[in-house]
This record gives sequence, C-alpha cells and structure tokens, in this order.
Amino acid sequence: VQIANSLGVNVTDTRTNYRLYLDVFVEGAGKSESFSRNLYSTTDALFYESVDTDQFTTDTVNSALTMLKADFAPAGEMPVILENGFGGVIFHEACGHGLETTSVAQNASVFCDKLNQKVAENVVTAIDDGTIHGEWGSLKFDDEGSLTKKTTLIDKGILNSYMADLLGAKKTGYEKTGSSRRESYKFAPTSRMRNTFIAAGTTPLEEMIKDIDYGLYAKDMGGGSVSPGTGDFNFSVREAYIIRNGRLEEPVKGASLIGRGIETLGRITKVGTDLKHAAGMCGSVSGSIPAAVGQPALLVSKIIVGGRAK
Amino acid sequence: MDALNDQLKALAKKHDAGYELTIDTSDSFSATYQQRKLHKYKVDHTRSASVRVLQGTGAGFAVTENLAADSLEQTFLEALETAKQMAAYNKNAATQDQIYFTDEKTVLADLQQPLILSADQKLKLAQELEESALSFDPRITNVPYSGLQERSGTRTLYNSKDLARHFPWTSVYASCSALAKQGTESQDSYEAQFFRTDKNLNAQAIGQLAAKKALSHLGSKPIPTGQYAVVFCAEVVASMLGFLIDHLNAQSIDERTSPTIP
Repeated sequence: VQIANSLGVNVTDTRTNYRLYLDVFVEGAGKSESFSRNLYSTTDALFYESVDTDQFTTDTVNSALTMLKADFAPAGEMPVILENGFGGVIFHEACGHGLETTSVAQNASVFCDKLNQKVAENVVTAIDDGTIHGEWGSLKFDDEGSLTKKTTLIDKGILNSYMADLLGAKKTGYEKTGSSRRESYKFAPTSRMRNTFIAAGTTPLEEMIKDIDYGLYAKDMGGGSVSPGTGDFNFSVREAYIIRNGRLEEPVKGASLIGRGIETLGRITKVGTDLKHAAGMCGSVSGSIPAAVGQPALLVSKIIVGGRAK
Repeated sequence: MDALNDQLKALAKKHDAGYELTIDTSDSFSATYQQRKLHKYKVDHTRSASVRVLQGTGAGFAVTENLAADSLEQTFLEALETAKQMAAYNKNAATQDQIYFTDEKTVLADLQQPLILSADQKLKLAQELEESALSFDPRITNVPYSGLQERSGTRTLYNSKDLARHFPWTSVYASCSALAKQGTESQDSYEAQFFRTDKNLNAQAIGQLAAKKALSHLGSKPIPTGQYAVVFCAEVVASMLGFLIDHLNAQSIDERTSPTIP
C-alpha cells in the first residue's frame, strides 16, 4: 500500500494476512450440525508451521459433535458469560461502530454527547489498538497515512474517546486517532475499528461460573445483526452450555442473545483474566476490512436469551 | 473486445489450454445527502477482465483492470500457473474443460435497459430520499444513511468453445435509514429497494416508508418470551426465501450440507 497526498505524506507499507479455516459438517441419529473455526496471523507464512492442525481439527470436530447431541436452549432473561475471543464481536458491532466518528458526526449514535460520562461499570476498559504486532487489524499507518495508535475508548467505565479519521476529526472537533480505513483505493476512507477489545480484568472464568445459580455460558459466538442507530442486536450462539448451581452442565444449541449495546455494556459486572483476540472481516461504508475483536470471558448480569426449549 | 479474445485464443492454443474471458465495463453513480446537504457524490468508470484457464485437471483464475495486451497476457499466465498447480494436486479428477464451459449459443433479448436520467435528476432523487423522511414527522431527527446508487455496464463473455456473448445490465439501489426519537427513546428503521430502471423509483415513498417504520417502533415493548403464531409481511418472507435458496444450490446438495437432503 502506498499513500501520498498534497500535504507531503508519502508512505508505503506491506500488509499480509494469513488465515486457516475449517468448516465441518456432521450427521448422526437423523440430525446434522456444522461448525467452523479459523486461525490467523499477519506476521509471516511460518505461522502455518506453528499451527497444530491435529488439535485444531479435533477441537472443531468435537464442537460439532457436541452440538449434534445438544437439546435446544431455554428462553428468557438470565446471566450470560460470553466467551473470551470472538465474544468481543458483540462489543464491536453493538458499541464499537457507535464510537466511530462516521456515526458520531451524523448524530446517529447512542454514544453522542456521552464523552467523559459513565457508560459501564468500573471493571470495563475498552481499547481499539492498531499497533499490536502481528494482530489481524494492525497497521503501520492508517489509510490516510496517519500513524496508528492505541486508543482507550472506555476507561474504567468512563467514555474516553471516539475513533476519528481526518474528516471525522474535522467534523466533530475530536482528535484524530489514526483510525481511517478502507478496503482498497476504490473506497473513500472513513473512521473504522482496528483491533477492538475489552481489557483483561481480575475474575477467573471458574469464579464467574461458580457464582451463577442458573444461566448460560456462550462458549462460541456466531453471526448476528445490529441496528446501527440504536445498537439493538441479535447474535446467535454456536456452542453454549447451561450453568446450574455454579457448574457447567449440558450443552444447548439454537440460543440467540438479544439486547441493546449500551444497556448490555452497563450490565457487564465481571471481567475475566483470559484476554484473547479473534479475527474477522468488518463490512461498512468503506468496504470490507480485516479487524480483530477480543475480550476475556465476561459476565453480563442479565440478557435476553432466545431459545426453543419447552 | 474481439481483439482481446483473439489474443487469448492464441495464448490458449500456444499453451494447449482452455480459456474463458469475461470483460466487464461499469459506470457507477452514487449520491448521498446528510443534514440537507450534499454529502457524497461519486462517479466512476471501470473496465476489468477475468480469465479462467483450464488445463488438464486444473483450473486457474485471475483478474486485471488493465486491458492492455501485455497486462492481459500476464493475467492469462497467472491463471495458467494456478491451473498447473491445481492439476498437480488433482491428477485423478475429471478434465476441467469438459465440466465448465458451455457452447450454448441461444441468445435472449436484452432484459435490462440503460438509464436515461441526467445527473441533476439523480441528485434530486438522492435529496428526496433524505428530505421525505426528515420532513415526514418532527420525531424523525436524523437520516444517518440514505442515498441513490446507480450502476450500468456491459458484460462480454468468450470461451474456447467459440462462445461470444454480450449483454448490457443496469442496477438502481435507493435506500433510507431514519432515526426517530421521543424523549429518551430512539428507534431506527430502514427501507431499501432495487430496480432495473429508474421508471419505478419513487424516492419520496421510500423515505416516507423508512420514517413510518422508525416511528412505528417508538413505544414498542418487549413481549414475553414464548411461542407465538407469527404473520410475516411480504418483505420478510422474501428475505427468508433468500436463506432457503442457499440450501437449494447444487453445491450444498453435492456436499450434503443442505437440510433438504433426507
């Protein structure tokens, strides 16, 4: 990538993305299930040699087989633990996009005018960082040639910053954060996320589970949809387990999580220690770009679970 | 474009390969108004060629946006190299040439017509998309996303079975997302419609429909979780059919991933 402009910026970068993807489909007892996982890197092709393909394959097949024998999830409002890693997709979609000046400048975000206000419990610190070595959404410079940064979006529950490209910064008056991104030269750049995650906390996963009488552990999140103006979301859970009397019990399938981003953010009461990132492709007005999501395991005190169990 | 096909035909003969050449031209226009001002205006023209090369049991594919002879030759050679690599891994597969290419010569009349609106007329439509929603009700406080996108172009297809086809296409997409606020509550909704010509495009109706949908969500309450009889409106049924169609294609049947397989 080379970017030059009339202000004298002239920078070049080599950007690489490596990804291994496995989608398995299993059948048994008249039922069928599918499951997929992926591994990724931006560093070099030696990544492939470091992958334990047997473990990767076994884990994916085991998840598919577990879901094959699972009954449908129950429905109702309950505490939910969101997995570390791709569980961060909910924050990305239901909160992150609302923190981009792309939507803030249009007064189309529930986070407008909430800078320096409390939007979450003290345990929540959310970061968008384009500088992490080898991470999926990292960039040497953003797609306008500005240096990328580590941007603390929410600092111990207080909204600290938006993500701004040059035009977004000019429109809103907020400082640019090196967040300008686009799929290719065919798109005009705008403010987008890079590697967005909730920082590690202090509660181990086992302790979170131990304190729940009845709830859901969402071990592997699937896709979903979000209403951009309100942050209303609906995400499927691909692999989930019932938590009963402080213990992980039977697997359940077909669960969906339903809520509004800013409300769910306010209901995160415990943050785990096991921060993990996961790769994805983020689609928005400036095209499809690689972006990482991430979080440790999180406890949301209550969230509506859609399910079919009678 | 026939000259490009002649070049590919000669290259394919030299390398004993089958080929398919697709040449696309596209003119696109998009305009968006925000807060009653022109926010985005984009016009572009692109030409691209994709080359599919079949050799033995291998297939390769490459794309270029430079239709000069040396670039097209490079694109062919890249696709050929991929085909050779694939053939090395697929020694026992069927010969690709027999699977993919058609020599069907039947020609249908063009089903789509180019658009005839001026840039001013198109800008007016884009403006109406936002304005009709904003002025529909004072509770509509914002139209964060709206716009008119129009694309027209041609596709020309050749292959080594002497297929030569050319057709024009058009596409118009009009959308409006309206945000309604009442007190501390906010709700949004979206209306988007596709057309093949501008004749049926009613920008005012699309903007008003987005506004009506957003307003109708104000004051809505969550219902108790449970099983209900549900009536789906026509648009939702169309979306659901879209999901079903994914399971009815030959690939999902072949890979046994379709729930329609007993």
